[in-house]
Amino acid sequence: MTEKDAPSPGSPRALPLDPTTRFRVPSRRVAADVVDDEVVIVDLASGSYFTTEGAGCDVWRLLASGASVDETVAVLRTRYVDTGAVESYVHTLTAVVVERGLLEPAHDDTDGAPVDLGPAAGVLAPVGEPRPFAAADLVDFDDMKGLLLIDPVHEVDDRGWPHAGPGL
Amino acid sequence: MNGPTISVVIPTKNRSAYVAEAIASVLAQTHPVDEVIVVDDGSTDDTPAVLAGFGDAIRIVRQEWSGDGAARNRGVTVSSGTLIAFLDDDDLWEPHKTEVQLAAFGRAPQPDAVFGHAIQFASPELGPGRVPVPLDADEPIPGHFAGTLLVRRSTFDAIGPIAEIGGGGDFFDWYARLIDSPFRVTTVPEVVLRRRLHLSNLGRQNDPAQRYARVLRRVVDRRRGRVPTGTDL
Repeated sequence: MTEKDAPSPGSPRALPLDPTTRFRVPSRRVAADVVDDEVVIVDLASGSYFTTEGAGCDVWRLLASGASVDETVAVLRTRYVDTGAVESYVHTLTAVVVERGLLEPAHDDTDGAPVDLGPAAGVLAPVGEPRPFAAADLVDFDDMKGLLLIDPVHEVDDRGWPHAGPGL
Repeated sequence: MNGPTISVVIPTKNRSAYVAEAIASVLAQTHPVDEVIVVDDGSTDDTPAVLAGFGDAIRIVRQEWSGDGAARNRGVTVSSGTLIAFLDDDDLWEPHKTEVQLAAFGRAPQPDAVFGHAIQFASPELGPGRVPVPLDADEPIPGHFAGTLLVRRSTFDAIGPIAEIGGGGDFFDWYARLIDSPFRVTTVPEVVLRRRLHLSNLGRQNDPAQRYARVLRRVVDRRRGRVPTGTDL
């Protein structure tokens, strides 16, 4: 099994990211399965899959629901005791996830209306008292590429794979 | 018994246009196989007539629709070879597949399961441009799927039956169990399989990414020693 760690979200190198940008999952090729506090994310275009848990899973669920980085930081601070690491963690993990192609900016999809991230929205399970914060890595795996890549993804376009050829 | 014997299991359902070619490619092996078991998984088209045309060259097992995983397991159960191979009813083996893979079994360190490379091709009756073919379709891809596999029966039995979850993740789950096991797996560099791209195997994309995410969860759970969540096996 090949297992590579993505850049640690605890690393000091912060990648530039507009904290008000909202994102969406490119759902034709990326999907996630969340159970309890762990998420498995697969990208059929690269054949890689990823896992993260705890705070990492929270970040994924929030971003995938349309939260911006700022909003994600705010929600995490209601769930975890922030001793100063939460904001840089969210920024770095978001940048990694976007770099991996698992989320893309949703420029035109929203009209600027705020996304409901409150308890009633059900994005995250409710918690009681804030828990100690622990940065969770995004771990990526490529041991299933051979199987994942043979399932052709056909997005309709004429630029070539994974887009349909002319005439379709 | 002298030397290994090869059983080939071909599950099929309503692919009468392709299954004859698939079977013919197995019967045309440079190193002949010992038995071809076609599991008709509840076809409602003219598949039975097409299969009957092969006479004694194949053994037909008919069952109510149960899915790929169940059909493959049924074929393995009724087979007798010391080595087991599979072929999807819409794909084709290259003529030298069994010859090349048997040679791999004979080379040290002897493997327990051998895969091979595959090439994808647009099914010709569809005409140009009808099927989105990968840009690099001429390039062989490592074929870690059922159609390239040749595996010792003892290894198959040890790994256990293929999952009968449905939705296309069955062999994927079995493959993950194989590579996480102590058994030795190798992949020959030769192209042994031609994988047909056509409208119905592209059109079954009812959220393939979500399907795979669920199967990968089972893989992750198992590796961590957790009982896989989801469907019972």
